[in-house]
Amino acid sequence: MESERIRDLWASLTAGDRLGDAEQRELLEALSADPKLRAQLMDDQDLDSALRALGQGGHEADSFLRDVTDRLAAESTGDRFIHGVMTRVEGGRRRLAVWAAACLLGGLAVVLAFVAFRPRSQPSVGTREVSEAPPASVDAEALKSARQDLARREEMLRREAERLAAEEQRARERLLEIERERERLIQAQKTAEARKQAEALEEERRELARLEARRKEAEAERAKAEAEKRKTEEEVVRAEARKTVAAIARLHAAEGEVYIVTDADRKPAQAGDELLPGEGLETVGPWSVATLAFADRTRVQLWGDTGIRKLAEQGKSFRLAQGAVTADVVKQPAHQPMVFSTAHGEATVLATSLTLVTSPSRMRLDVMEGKVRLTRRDDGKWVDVNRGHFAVVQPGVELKATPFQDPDKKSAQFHPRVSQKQVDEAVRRGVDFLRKAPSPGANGIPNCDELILLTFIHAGVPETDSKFQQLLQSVLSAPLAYTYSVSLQAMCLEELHRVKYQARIHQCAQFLVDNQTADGYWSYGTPTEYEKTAPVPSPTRDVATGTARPPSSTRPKGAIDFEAPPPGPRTKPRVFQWIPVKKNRDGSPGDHSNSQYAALGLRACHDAGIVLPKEVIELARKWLRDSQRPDKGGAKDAYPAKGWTYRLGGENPYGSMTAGAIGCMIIYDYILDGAERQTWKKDPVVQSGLAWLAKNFSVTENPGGPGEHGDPKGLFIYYYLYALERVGMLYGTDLFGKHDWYFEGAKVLLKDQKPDGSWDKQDPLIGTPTYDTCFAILFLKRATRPVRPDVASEDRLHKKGEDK
Amino acid sequence: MASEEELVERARGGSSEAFREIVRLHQSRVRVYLARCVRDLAAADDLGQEVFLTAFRSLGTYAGNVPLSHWLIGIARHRVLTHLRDEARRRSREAQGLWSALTAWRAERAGAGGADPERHERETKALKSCMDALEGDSAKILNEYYFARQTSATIARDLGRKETAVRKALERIRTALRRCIEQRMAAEGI
Repeated sequence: MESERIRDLWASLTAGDRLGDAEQRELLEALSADPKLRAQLMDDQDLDSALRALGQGGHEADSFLRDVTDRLAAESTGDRFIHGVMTRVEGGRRRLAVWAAACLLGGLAVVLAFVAFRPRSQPSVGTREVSEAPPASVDAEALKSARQDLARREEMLRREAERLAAEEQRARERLLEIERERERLIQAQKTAEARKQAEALEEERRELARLEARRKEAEAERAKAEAEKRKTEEEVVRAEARKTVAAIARLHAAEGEVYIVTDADRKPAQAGDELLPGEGLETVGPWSVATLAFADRTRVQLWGDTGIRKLAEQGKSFRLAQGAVTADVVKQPAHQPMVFSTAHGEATVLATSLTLVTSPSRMRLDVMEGKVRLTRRDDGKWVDVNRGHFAVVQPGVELKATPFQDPDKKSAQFHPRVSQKQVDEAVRRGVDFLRKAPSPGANGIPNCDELILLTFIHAGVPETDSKFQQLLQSVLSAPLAYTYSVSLQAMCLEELHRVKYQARIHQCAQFLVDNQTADGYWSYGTPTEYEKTAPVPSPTRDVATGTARPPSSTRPKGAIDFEAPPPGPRTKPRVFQWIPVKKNRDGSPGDHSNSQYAALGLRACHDAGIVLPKEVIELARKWLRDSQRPDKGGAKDAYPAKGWTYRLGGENPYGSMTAGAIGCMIIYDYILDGAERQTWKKDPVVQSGLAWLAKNFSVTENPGGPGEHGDPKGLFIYYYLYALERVGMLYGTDLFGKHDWYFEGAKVLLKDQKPDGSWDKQDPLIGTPTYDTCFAILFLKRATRPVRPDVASEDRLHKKGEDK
Repeated sequence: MASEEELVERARGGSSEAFREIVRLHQSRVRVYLARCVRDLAAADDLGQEVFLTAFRSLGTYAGNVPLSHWLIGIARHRVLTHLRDEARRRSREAQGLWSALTAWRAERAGAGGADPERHERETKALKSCMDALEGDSAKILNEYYFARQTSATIARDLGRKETAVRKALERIRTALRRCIEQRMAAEGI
């Protein structure tokens, strides 16, 4: 119903009826609320409009045509008028004025058109063609029609006039509106400009404040930088210098307090730092140590509380202000020797291994290799100090070269960081313990007399000692039945008197050779019947039997004593007789523990003049090479870390097996290639093993694993330390990586000794303090003889020379 | 008789005669279009004149790629939209609620639906065709009212009916015409 009502209202509206305000509102609401209805009604109105327009077409086409034509004609006049208007209207009004003028002109043109061309056409119902001309005769009907037409046109004219007036009014209003808008914009612009200016001023003020704050900050920073600059000026100079001045040495290792010193200052140093000409190096405290490396591989080790000054630009000279240095100097140019100077004198070196110690009252030079000229500063007197000699510069003391008692052991006995007094005392107490300790066996071996005897020998227990003799007799009378025992016996006898016991050593060698497996390694071993057939040679002439070292209690006190003769256990007799040994059988499969002791025994046999079958040693070396295993995680170094396990099938290398096997490799390289060539130094198997030791270094646990006995960390720790000592001594190194193995190991052992003088790790597998004590003493005494041309092989060379 | 292209060419050359001919040919469809949009016939005619004046001034831009009638309807559409929007603003300002709304709605329709000149052409053509199909009183009432411009009262009197009946009849006729147009457009696929 409502829709019907709306439709009625709409029909009235469409028909041109005037609607009341209420009706208009009603219609508006309905149309607004119902877009669909609205669309329908407006469609209807569209059609209505179209029909009206079509209906009008016939009547009005002509006049429309004329209107257009007239307006076209008026265009040119209008243009001129418009131009006139435009010149009077400024800026923003211009477009409106054109528009208004055009409207006015258009309106005028239409009015004129209507007036000038009175319509004379007749509407033709039902046709859409343009009307023809009016009829010539004017009758009443025509008159009526003409009047109606006139009335309609007048009405149209009136409406048009109204529309134009309204249009004009709108244009005026629009003009005013634009004018107001323009005024408003101008005002707004002015306000905006004023605000902008105020803001700019404010911003400027803030910027000034900011600048002031920044200036203050910069001032503070500058002051700080100035202070820092002053503080680091020397460093800057150093850095600058480094650009132009080549460093002459690099700090290879540094432990404890180490400083690079100049005349003016000193700064903490660390490994990797470079030293420039004129600089020096200082270690502070008894435990600090530093190693300087030169480009030509010359190395200088500074011990505790040592200072060197003014490294020279030419050569590698420096002044030793205080303390002790050990140097390994590679061959220097003849015209440019290395010169170490002290307050007392000057040591001139071409190539050598030496230790130089200076104090306010004296200096001492020990030469392990090569020759050094020592010149006394006071009077210019000099002396050449050869290998195995030392000399002292001290008021009232004659300047001369004095031989060491035991040159090959000299370097091993001297360690500035370890108190020799403490070591000697610990060893003495350990030996006292061993005198009363049981001699337990293990794995079928009845006792460990050989191990105790070896410990006594290296601990300096005199042969006249009753316990010593008891052990020696026990060892010599026992059947050669076990790899461990036989090897240790060979080591003892070679150390005691390699000529006197050469026959027995030869039997040991036979046992060891015959117990090597076809693969090249050793088990616990079984007695071999052939030892009885071995020849028992007798010395061709009397030889020195060697002397036992004097008891420690008679030795001077203190770690470093200038007056004391350098300690050394024995002087070995020359070997005059070579006894070959042949392999007669193979042993049963074994392990790397028996194998490493077999190697030690073979080395003793070799040094005692036993000629071992080359293929035995080669096979043993091959076995070790083949059984070396990569470390967990691998490595990218030149020598990747590799180690050994207990048996071939083991996966994870560990410390005691690895250290033991490296020692074996060095021994085999030495036996096969000789000491002179030092082929172990270039042996990749040895180097990879050392890399493993450096990487996994420890003196408190047996690192690596887990091995065949489970996690090795708490097992065989002292057994491992003795193996570590053997590598250090055989290879001839103070360091594994950056670890000073003797210093670190001795520190732990000195701390761990029990009140009864024993060492006891309570190892669940070999748990006896006897073993632990023996291994600890062998470590502390650095019992292993280094492999050097001037050590055991010296006699060999001598013999060879004589043969020729 | 000159072709449309010739006429355009001549008009471009300044021939008012040629342009008169163009106006004569196209005035009807332009005016019908404008009338549909603005409803006020006088305003439609006024806009129509402006459309042709604009066309005359812009003939140089007519590229001839669409029929001239479409081009003219395009001008008309642009003009009528401006007009309706101005009108809507004015009526709104003058608080003519219904008229303001109607004008705005028309502008909306002109902007949306009435945009296509071709559709307008076809619708007009269909309307003429549908008108021709009317018979009897329907044809008579339609002719009398729209073409003879008789009032509904006069027609009612002539037919012996009430004026409201004539108005209703006119409404029904328009409805029939709308359906007829829709059918024809649909038949043409539009």
